[in-house]
Amino acid sequence: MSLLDVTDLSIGFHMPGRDLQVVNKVNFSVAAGETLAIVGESGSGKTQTAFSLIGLLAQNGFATGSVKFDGRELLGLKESELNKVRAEQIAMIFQDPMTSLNPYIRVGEQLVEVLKLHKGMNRAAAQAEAIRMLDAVKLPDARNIFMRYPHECSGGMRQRIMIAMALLCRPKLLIADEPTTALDVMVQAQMLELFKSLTAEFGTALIIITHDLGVVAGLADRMMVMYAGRAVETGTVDELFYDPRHPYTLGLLSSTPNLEEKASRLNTINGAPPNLEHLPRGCAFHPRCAFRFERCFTEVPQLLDFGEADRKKACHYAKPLVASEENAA
Amino acid sequence: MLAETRVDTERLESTAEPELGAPAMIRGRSLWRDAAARFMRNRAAVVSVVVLLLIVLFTIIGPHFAAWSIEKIDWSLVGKVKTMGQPSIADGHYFGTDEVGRDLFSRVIQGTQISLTVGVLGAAVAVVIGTFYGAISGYFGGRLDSVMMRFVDIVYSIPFLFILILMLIIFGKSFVVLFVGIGLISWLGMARVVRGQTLTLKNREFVEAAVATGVKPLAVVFRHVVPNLLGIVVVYATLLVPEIILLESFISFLGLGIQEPNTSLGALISEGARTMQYGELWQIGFPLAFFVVVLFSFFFAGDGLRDALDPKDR
Amino acid sequence: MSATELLRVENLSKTFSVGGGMFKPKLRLKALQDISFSIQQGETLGIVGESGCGKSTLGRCILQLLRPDEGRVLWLGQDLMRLDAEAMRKRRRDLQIIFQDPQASLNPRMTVGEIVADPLKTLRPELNAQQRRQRVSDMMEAVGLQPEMINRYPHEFSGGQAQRIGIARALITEPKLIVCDEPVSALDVSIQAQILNLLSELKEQFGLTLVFISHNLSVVRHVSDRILVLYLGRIVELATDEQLYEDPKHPYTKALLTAVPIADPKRARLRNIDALQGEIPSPINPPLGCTFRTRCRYAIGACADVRPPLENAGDSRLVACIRWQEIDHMPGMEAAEERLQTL
Repeated sequence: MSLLDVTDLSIGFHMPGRDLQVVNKVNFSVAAGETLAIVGESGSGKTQTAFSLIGLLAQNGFATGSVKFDGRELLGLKESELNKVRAEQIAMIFQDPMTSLNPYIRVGEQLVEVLKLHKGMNRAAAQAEAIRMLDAVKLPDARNIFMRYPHECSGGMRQRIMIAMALLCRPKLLIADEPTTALDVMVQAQMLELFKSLTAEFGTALIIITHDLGVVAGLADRMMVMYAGRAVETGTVDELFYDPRHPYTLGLLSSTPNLEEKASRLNTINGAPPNLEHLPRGCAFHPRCAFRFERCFTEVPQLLDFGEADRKKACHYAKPLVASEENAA
Repeated sequence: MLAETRVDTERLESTAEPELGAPAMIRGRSLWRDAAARFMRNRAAVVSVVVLLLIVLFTIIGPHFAAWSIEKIDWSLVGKVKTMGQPSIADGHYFGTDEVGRDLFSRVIQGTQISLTVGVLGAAVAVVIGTFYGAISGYFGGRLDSVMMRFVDIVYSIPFLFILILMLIIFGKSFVVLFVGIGLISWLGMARVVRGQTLTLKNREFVEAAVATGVKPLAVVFRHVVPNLLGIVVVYATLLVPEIILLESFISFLGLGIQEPNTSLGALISEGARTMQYGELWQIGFPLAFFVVVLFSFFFAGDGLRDALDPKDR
Repeated sequence: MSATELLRVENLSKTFSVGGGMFKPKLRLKALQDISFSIQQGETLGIVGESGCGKSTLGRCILQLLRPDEGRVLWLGQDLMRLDAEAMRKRRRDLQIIFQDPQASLNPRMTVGEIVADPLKTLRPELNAQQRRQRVSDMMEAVGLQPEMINRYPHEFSGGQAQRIGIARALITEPKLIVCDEPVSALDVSIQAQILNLLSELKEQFGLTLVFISHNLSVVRHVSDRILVLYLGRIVELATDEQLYEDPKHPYTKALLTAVPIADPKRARLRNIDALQGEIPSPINPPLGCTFRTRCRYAIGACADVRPPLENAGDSRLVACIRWQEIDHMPGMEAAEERLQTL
């Protein structure tokens, strides 16, 4: 049994006069210690999916389906119960470290607060543990950082502090929402190395939400691609990068400029992501798809298993999209 | 923080590609229209605006129904105001009479007219001068800004009420002096607010873009910066009107403002307060009611405007 | 070498004063120091670096949107720094800019048509309204937008479309050189690709010269002919895209290239990331001598003594490192490269 099992998760928002569905029957799971990347562009629903796992949807949001963590259903839990799950079992770090730390409280205090609240530690023990964790995230001079205010730390440092805060209670699952988007290349590389070493050291499972395929390639074991609120392809990272079976995945891969080769033209995906309130009939991607045929215009493809273990796609087109010796069969 | 993020459908709507095959000119949906739509959803604000319009209408049409002018004294009631001066349809004194025997209906209408005029005109003057001053100061910055703002600070720190009273005593208690006096300071707050907004706006990329396309500095200020300030200016102005009315009323209450036979709500309230002890409550009731309703309406409308002109649109 | 030199920057420096107050002295933030390079007609010069390296500042200094404190900016042989406001305004017809944040660069209170027409009003006053309208319409089509959209407001457009509007505005005066300041950083991956393709089409169509500023090395590689690498306000390397990516000479460039994420899991697993220690020092007090030495694995004592001059490293490429020749022959990096090559 996996650590996290998400079945038919759907998320919507109550808007004046109507309900807007932003995520539609998403299925995925994360094993203990595994790193899953959820990939998609704006409007794909990836962030809302992550938020819904620990009940961080906005006031007018609602989620249906099932989110089982360690065998326990999380959707619909009371706020008090959910609070126990947060930080201790599932922790989250957000995109912008600037706004995620309280600017009026010293860094150390914020860490100590988490420990006192969730682990019932006394001040001395909490302080020691906090400093230990600041060390673990490779912050130089942890004692000094402990005494600083967030604005006295750089962006990269703040992001590490966030990670430290998230790992204080040794959660089994860490969710990172676009953790490296706002960072410089070097700091991003350091951050990804840090993620790799920490997940190995603490055995934490990691869900990383991103639109950067380079980050996914360097960090994740498995990935799930989302488009217009649906999961369109899941599998291991190698499988999706070398044998993508959904045209959108292929499109994303081709649109990414390759550092090693200069192409004269990038293969783009024509058009733009759809308006969630006016999704096309049939497959939401078909207006932009080079592989479409009649069935795609009328029938919404379901996320179905194919090939070997745990590989899924939501596409009517049955053949491989990329020619290579491996999938000549 | 997160619980407040709402999925923004307006943003989502705009990601739709324009429908192909729509050759006619498409009218855009300006930010003002969006704000107007939001304003309309705010019931308190809409009711306030309607009430204000009704009051203005009343001051225009009302005089046609008035049986008495503002200064004609009803000799039949003199001395017997307490017993016979109540509001009545029969003798044409719909709101009753004041202590001297003049018709309160007409006087309240005139008082409202004058208070509204002073308020709106005063706010208009403040808006024009304050916006001009604040935008120039904020955009050009540097020494000019320092000097201009120090001037504002200095004038602001002068105890205005005393000066105004002094002015009225020295130059005579006329409407003009009152107006000039109010005008002299009401633009200060607006200038500060506009300058603050200008400082934020001038670093926005579209202002940089205007400079990069060779637009001259003054044109940048008035074509690009000021239109984006109007939201906050309108809100501030709507709240400035009641402030000015209050100020004028206070001065008139003290007897220094509008002079006989003209009157303002403040003066009427002042007179009415003096006769409360005789039980002639209508004399304070009517002007006070109008006064309070006008003020509240402006405040609610101003609040509604502030909510409608959401910061993210600026 | 018959290509005309359009722009030449010589010894450009820019310092900002920050902080300070009544009792504290203002601090001097050295954003750019002694920058010199030139741009040929028809080329795309990429400028890369991390936050604080001064790339955006450099873009703005070229266009005189920020006044450099020292140095010269020669446009077609004429020093822009010495022009008065009116003369500079006339030059702006030829020098335009595209901004990073598409929505923020468009005046929210103006219609799209007005926004795109605005430069014409200022810089081509001889055109009448009808002619302006025609040009706006043509330009909208050229960037892939429907001309019927001109009465819409910026917030009604998506990020990609808004950036197209920004491009239309930059192109409408038929400029010779356009500074693109992180034009695709705020866009989704698939839209990025569309805009990059559009830029290269338009460059061909209109014979443009581009200065492409970005922190994303993959994107810069894709669009640029030559690339300028900045670190803490100084040029550390200048080379063609092939030279830079295949054979970087400066330690910073080498490290930077290993850190760029590669969208290829097998290669990503094998690469040796040199993520460097620590973070970029503050530009208020940059290290003496070579600004990079505090994080450089090859730093020696001599690196602190003198600022490394930009040396010619053959093939008209420049490197600012006193040890670049020695480093070239060091074993460490080669082993990693070999491993990559055996894939």
